[in-house]
Amino acid sequence: MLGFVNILLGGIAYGFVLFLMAGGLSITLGLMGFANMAHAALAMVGGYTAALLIGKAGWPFLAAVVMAGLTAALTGAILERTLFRRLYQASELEQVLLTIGVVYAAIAAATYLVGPEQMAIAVPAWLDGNLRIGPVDLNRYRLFLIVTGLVLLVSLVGLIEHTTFGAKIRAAVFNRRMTASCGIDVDKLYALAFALGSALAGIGGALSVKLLGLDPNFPIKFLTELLIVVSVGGLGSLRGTFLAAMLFGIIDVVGKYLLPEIGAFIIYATALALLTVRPQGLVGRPR
Amino acid sequence: MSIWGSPVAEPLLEIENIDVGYGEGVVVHDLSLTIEVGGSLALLGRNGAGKSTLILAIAGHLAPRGGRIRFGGQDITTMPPHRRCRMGIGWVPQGREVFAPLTVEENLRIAAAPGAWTLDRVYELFPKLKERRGNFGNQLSGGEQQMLAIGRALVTNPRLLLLDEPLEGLAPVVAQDVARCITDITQSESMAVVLIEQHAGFALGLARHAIILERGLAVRSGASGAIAADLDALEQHVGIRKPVRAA
Repeated sequence: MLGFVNILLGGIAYGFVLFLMAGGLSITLGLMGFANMAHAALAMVGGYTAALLIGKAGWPFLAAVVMAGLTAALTGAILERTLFRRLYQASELEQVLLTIGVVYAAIAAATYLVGPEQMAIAVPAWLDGNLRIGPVDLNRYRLFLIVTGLVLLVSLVGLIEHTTFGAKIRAAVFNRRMTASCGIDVDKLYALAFALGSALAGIGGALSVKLLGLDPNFPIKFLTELLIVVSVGGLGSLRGTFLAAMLFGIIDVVGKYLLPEIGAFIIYATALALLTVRPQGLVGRPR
Repeated sequence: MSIWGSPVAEPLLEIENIDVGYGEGVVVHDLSLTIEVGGSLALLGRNGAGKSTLILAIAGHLAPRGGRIRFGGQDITTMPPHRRCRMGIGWVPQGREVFAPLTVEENLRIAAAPGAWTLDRVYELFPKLKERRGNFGNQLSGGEQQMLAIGRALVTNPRLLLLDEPLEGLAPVVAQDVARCITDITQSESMAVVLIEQHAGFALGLARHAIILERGLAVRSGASGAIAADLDALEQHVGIRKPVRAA
């Protein structure tokens, strides 16, 4: 029983990592209509930044995670300004082809620069081991992921739904032309939104290393998971993305524990079943 | 330069020989006009005559094939729409284009720029909007959406307000309300106005000058009084519509 509590905790923690990585994709794919297959590559940038800063440069853990977010944001902004923005009006196929190209370039770059081996990340003592609450020993790092994820979730929803910046993004997504005629530089707004989504991916990537490991194939390995989370959640809905991330985080971890033979298959079956019943996603509006 | 008005009046918008259209087709041909600071101009003509096309070119959503547009003395022919708005061109589009996923307050707040027109002043002008400030754009009636579209343009503090069929589709009582507000705005301000309106009587009563467009050509232009008196031209190009009285 106590073991199961920790497995459930692991599922929720994995759900938060999925949410951080998919939240940015939900913004770019759902809100801005840009099919960015390279989103997990930005998470990988965050992962390597944190792992190298901690391992090679001796940075404190939290500072390295913040830096991972900033580096991913900068990388995302550069990609958006130089490549992606040219394809905002193009077909989804063209967007997918370009960004898949970026994925392979990122894999090659990571292999060349860092090497193909698995990367480990050292966490500080206060995040290591278990925390005893009453009769249960809870894994500290998983608790930390859940708290961090909750803080970022609330900030993000608050930003999009309750600030003028968020209102501008919702306006631009709804009617780009009218938004421009309100004096808003939509190009700049999209670049900022893209950087924000990239920062989330970077933080998610950095926090995921201890849980998932990190190697140059990360952007391909997690592409499917992220796409499933975003499409099951409902395109453009952060709440939906969060629900789907929790659902798949828990199903994946608990499924692999209870039914190890078919564990990896369970999330795909669930995704198929859910999308058959609700093609618009959990929270999305019918199109 | 000016085709009407006193020569000492300072020009605000100067359009010189522009051709505008979609794809291959040219919708507005070789059109020139000038509006002075605080001036007002009615664009009359049948559907498809090129009125909205001209407004889109002024707002920056259609690039002219030829000719030039100057605003406040600066060439804005290739300037993007958001910079034109910041320079003082406010646009109330046909069909209102209210942001449905935003509340009334957010619709106004994202557009607000420093100046005489604040959110409070818009709420004073349209008390209905204040009542509904927390409602989303798609929860408003047609009249409320129109008030919001006008308010949203006003809080950008424009020097030139482009109004594209502001009374279209409104119930007569609501239309009179909106018409009265538009009259107030244009008469009490140094704000210039370009007005497209099917109700020729209202448009001519409001604007000092008028242009009649037919198939993209300016076929008549002059003082509104003279054009209103010339019922033949109106009947031929515009079709007489029951005027809405602006109290």
